Amino acid sequence: MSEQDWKSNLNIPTKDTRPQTEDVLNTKGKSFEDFNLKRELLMGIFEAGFERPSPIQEESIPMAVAGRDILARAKNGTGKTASFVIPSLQQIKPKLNKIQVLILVPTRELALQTSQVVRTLGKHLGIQCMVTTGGTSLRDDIVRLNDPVHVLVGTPGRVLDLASRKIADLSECPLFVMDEADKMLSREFKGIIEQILSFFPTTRQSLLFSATFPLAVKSFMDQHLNKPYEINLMDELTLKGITQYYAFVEEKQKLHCLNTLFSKLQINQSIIFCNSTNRVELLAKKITELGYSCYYSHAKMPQQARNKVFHEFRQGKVRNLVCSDLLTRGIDIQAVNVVINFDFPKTAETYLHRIGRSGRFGHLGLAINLMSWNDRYSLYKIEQELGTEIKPIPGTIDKSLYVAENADAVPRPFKIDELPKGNETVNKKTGYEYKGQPEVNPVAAATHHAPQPQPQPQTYPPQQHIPPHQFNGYPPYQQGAPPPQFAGYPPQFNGQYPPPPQQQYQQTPSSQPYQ
Amino acid sequence: MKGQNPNRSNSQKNGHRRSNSRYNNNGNNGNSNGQPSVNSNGDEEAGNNKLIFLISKSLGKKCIATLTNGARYQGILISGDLSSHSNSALSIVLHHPILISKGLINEKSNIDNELPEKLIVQSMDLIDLEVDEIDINDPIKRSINSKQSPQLSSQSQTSDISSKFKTDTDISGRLNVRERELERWVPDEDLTHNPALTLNADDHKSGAWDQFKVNEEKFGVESSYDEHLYTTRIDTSAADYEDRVKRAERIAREIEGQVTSDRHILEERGIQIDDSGIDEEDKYSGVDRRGDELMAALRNTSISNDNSNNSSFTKLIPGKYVPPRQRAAQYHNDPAIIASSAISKPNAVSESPTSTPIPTSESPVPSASISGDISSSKDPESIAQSHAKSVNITNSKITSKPESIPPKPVVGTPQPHNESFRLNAQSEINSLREFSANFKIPHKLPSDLLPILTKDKLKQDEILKKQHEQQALKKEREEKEKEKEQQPVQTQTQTQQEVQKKKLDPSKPAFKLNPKAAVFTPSSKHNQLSPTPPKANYQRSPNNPSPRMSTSRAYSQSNGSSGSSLTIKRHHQISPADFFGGVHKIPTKESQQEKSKSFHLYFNLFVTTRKKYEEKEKNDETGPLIYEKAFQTPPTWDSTIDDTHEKLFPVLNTFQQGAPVVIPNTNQFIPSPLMSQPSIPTGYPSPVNSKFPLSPHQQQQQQAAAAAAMAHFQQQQQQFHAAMLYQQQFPPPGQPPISMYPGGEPAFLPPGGFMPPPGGYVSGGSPVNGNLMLGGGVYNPNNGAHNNGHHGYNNHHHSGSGRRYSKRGSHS
Repeated sequence: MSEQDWKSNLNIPTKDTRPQTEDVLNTKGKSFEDFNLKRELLMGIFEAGFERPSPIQEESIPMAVAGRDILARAKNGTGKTASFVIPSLQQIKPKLNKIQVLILVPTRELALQTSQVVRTLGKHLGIQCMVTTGGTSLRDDIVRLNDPVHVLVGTPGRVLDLASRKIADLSECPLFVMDEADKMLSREFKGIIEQILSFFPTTRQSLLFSATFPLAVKSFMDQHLNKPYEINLMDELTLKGITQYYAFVEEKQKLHCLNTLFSKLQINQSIIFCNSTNRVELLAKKITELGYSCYYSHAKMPQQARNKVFHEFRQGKVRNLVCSDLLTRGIDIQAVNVVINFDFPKTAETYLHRIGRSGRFGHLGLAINLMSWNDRYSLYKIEQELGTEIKPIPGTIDKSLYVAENADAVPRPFKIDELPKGNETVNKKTGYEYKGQPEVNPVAAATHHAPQPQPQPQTYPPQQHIPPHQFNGYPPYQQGAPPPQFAGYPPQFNGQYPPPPQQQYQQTPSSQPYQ
Repeated sequence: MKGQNPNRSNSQKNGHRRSNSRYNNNGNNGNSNGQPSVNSNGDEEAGNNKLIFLISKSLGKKCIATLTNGARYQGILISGDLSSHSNSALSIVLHHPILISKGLINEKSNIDNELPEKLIVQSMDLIDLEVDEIDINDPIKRSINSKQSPQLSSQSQTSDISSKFKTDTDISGRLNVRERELERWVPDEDLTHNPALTLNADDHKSGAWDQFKVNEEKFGVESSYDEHLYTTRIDTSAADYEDRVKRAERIAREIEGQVTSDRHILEERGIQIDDSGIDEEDKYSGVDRRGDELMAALRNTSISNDNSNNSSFTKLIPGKYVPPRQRAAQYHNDPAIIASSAISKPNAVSESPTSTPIPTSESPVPSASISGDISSSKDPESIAQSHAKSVNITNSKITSKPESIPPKPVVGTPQPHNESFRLNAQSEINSLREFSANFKIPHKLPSDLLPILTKDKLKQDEILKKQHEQQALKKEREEKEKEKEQQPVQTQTQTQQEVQKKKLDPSKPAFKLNPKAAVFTPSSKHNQLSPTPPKANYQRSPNNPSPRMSTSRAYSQSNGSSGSSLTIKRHHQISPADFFGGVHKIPTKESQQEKSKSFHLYFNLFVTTRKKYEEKEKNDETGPLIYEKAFQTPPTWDSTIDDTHEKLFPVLNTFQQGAPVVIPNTNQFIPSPLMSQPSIPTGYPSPVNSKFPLSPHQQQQQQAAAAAAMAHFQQQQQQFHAAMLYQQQFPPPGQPPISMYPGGEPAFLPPGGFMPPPGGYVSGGSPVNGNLMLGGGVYNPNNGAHNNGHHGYNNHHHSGSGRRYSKRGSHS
């Protein structure tokens, strides 16, 4: 089996042809094959739609694989998740029945997402990745830990509860990862983190990633990291691809303004942030009343509802999401091209993470801040802290600033046919017309197929003209791919641990590629 | 290596240091070999070393120096001096200078025609130094630009960053963003009154809509969520599955029964906690910037004061000059006040043509805050007793007389006052002169001070004589005043209840010195909190009752520039009754001692509660001993119903001995020794004798983000103590010491159980004063003042939906 063979048999998803910025393109020109990764891992990487490593991946993967502690910062949506997931997966021994990587994140939704990335990238490795967060049955998680788990992704509180009872045995876990490290080292989490770290062996490796570090983390570095390799790829804080505007309105005009934005903008998907849970619900209701599909999410909802909202929005089922700062950090939805701050945030890092929900992986996006008179000092302060100037919203916004001419290949976390009821749903609903966002001009709406259940592969655009690009950890939305794939989750996995990788692989028509 | 360095300073000016960055090589296009530029790496010393290196390499080379006047001289660099005083230090000596271009400024100069053999250019004159043809091993080609030196040093201030991981602001470089006029968004069509386009909390029936249902019906959104897309599947087919589930169930119960005080862990265990003090930004997105506990307290204050809009005021450095116009806003943490204080100015002029408009306009704030101070120090028991009750009372008061409460608290700023100062600068000087002439030292002059004042024996005698005279005079006056005061005070106490009733009806003009003045003296605090009519005090001393204010005003006005203020007294002339707002309120030694004693006890929730409980038990009233939350201060209330600690800490029964107890050190107020003993169940009510016991409430509150309130409380208590100490140890400035304790009158406990502030004891709108007193006001949970949002506390209370928006409405 030559190199070419295994590569040619990969199920590479539709390419995302949207333009990208320097933020992800300014690389040294390495390829994933240069990192001496396991072939199964490489297969997962390529099948996830990754082509070349982003700058942060280029910097961190070799160092992490070499065993160094890493403290890294890179802009929002430039591939940090894969930067720690890939080396983590590289170092996992699938046959060793132990938790070998602990990934801590601040929110439950982010834990789900991170786990999904681990599963996508590691689908050929035969590893088990488990999510454990609050809001779910603790009993179930304990039961789950009876079976092999190689990667544990969770929020600190639940992980501490499990680790302190030795239910999650971290005593031989060699790798500790924190995403959104600045938040994780914030006062409310730091104590928990330090307790969790005490369950680790002293020789552990630690990887810390974030886009923001509003405070120095020196004391933690000195105490818990071993000669960390520091990566800082930011010489500015804001993403190049995001255009920021403010709309200075009266409080009572905000909804009116939002409605105007909805009708004028070509929104692929949008996230709208409010500052209180009440306002989140209220606004979401208003938006649905205005005729746009809209979900909402905040921390006071039941976790099942939160998960559902999160999952459906990532899959593009609804076009708008109103949420609190629960979903400010880390949430990666490639199709989001507009972020609206219905209420202005308090801190600069919140602002930065919020607007970083659009413009993922170097793509273009729009951030619009509805400012009331009371917010103006926050605006100045945040401008100052971020070193950026937010301009007033013009009468018309140039579409080239945020609308991709080809939104078809925007990746989705799960392919439709991977979803449990995916095909049925789609087939049943063929006659269904998506009614959200009615005011968007019909041409634009037609190109935004994402929320529309459209199983027909022939509607997809040709794939020539491909600028260098890549995806941020998600397999593109691959409705067009003929063979059924098991990108994220093979449905027939019922309880068989560990799943033999071959079994998955044989599902593809040309099944010999790897030994 | 010819010509000038193409890589002039411009290309380097913005060069952020990039630690560990491969950009190192790309930034300086002039340095093809990647030699780090002078300022790209390292601190000042490194920069200097490099500069020294370059200078030494440049010695003997031909160079061109540009001077500040624009003249350029070419010559051979023979010496450079980096060691000068200023940061921008590079002085050079040129050999055989030639003038290659004249200065832009055509000064007459001697050296124009005749250049010396050696031209010394001081660092202050040197702008630029270009050196050609440096021949060093490293092909560094750059101009040594003296302008870079300040840049070097300024970078070096932040350059210790290069040794650590950069923070956000290190990267952003703190762009200087000015406050600027924001461009208003103009709607295409005015649909403001379209109910569909307004976000109104009224038409939101509490979560009555199901987003999944609505979206499915309207837009055909169907769910495909399956948790197994994300996490592992439970193997239900395992042989011992039942056992596993049972075991897991047991462990889960154990874990969930563990005691913890950590907010996040509680949340993850699904325990509902009171987190009304923080929003989801604090929880999930923002990084807690609190450095240490003091900072924490300060920040918490600002958070709770200004939850919804963290204005730039919160980061103002104390002591920094703030324009008077903004003082009120900063003080209240509410930028909205800026405008209102600006607005209130013309109001003050137009609507208060009375003789003492300014003092009255400024009086409300301190008076209200003082009220908390005085009343809580006087009768803390009554506070404890009328805990929840009086809040209701004050609430009902508010609703019962809305006219008296202005839509928003407009606080008179010292601004008009200040402006009058400026205008009367001359009269000020005059008055100071007059003051010096008339100044009498209220106390006995220390004998050793005499020789310092004057050496003349005669004059010394004169001074002493004067002093004696003065004291005699004073005694006389003091006695007179005391006589005078007895009467009104008596009548006052007699009619107090009646007066109180009247007070509740603001429409009665009898209580307004100037009915119009009330429009802009709307201390709603004052109105609600002081059943004691200010009138009585005004009658007695119709001038500015604030000692502080009166001193300053007396100086400026006693020269007759303002006839209206002739009656203003100096503060040392104010009788104690005046000062304290009534004879019965004058502190006596006993009352002070009692006060300080009660301070130790009455603020201790546990002592007071237990006391009350014991009293109850004596009366055969049985019932559980309930400790109320210590932080039941209005600002953090979401509802009026609070869970008891039993409900919050159901663990008392289920607590497992062996279970590790999680006590993360996020609790700022837990004494550190306790933190290191994780076996102490922090959930239990703890020893009563400690000053800030580890009550469940406190802990609860801390993680519940009412850490804010807690910190505030403690801070305030300290302030409070400070204030009391001050009160106890020192007579008010200028107060004759004798009058401090005029007879052992017992502290007066008003029937209402809550002593209102004396209307007369009111200082000017001084932020210092007010701030100090604010503490008392905040601590006192009964202080209804919070309910009108006087100091922006309410923002947080109604966070998001209520006040912020109504505030806007009231503005526009």
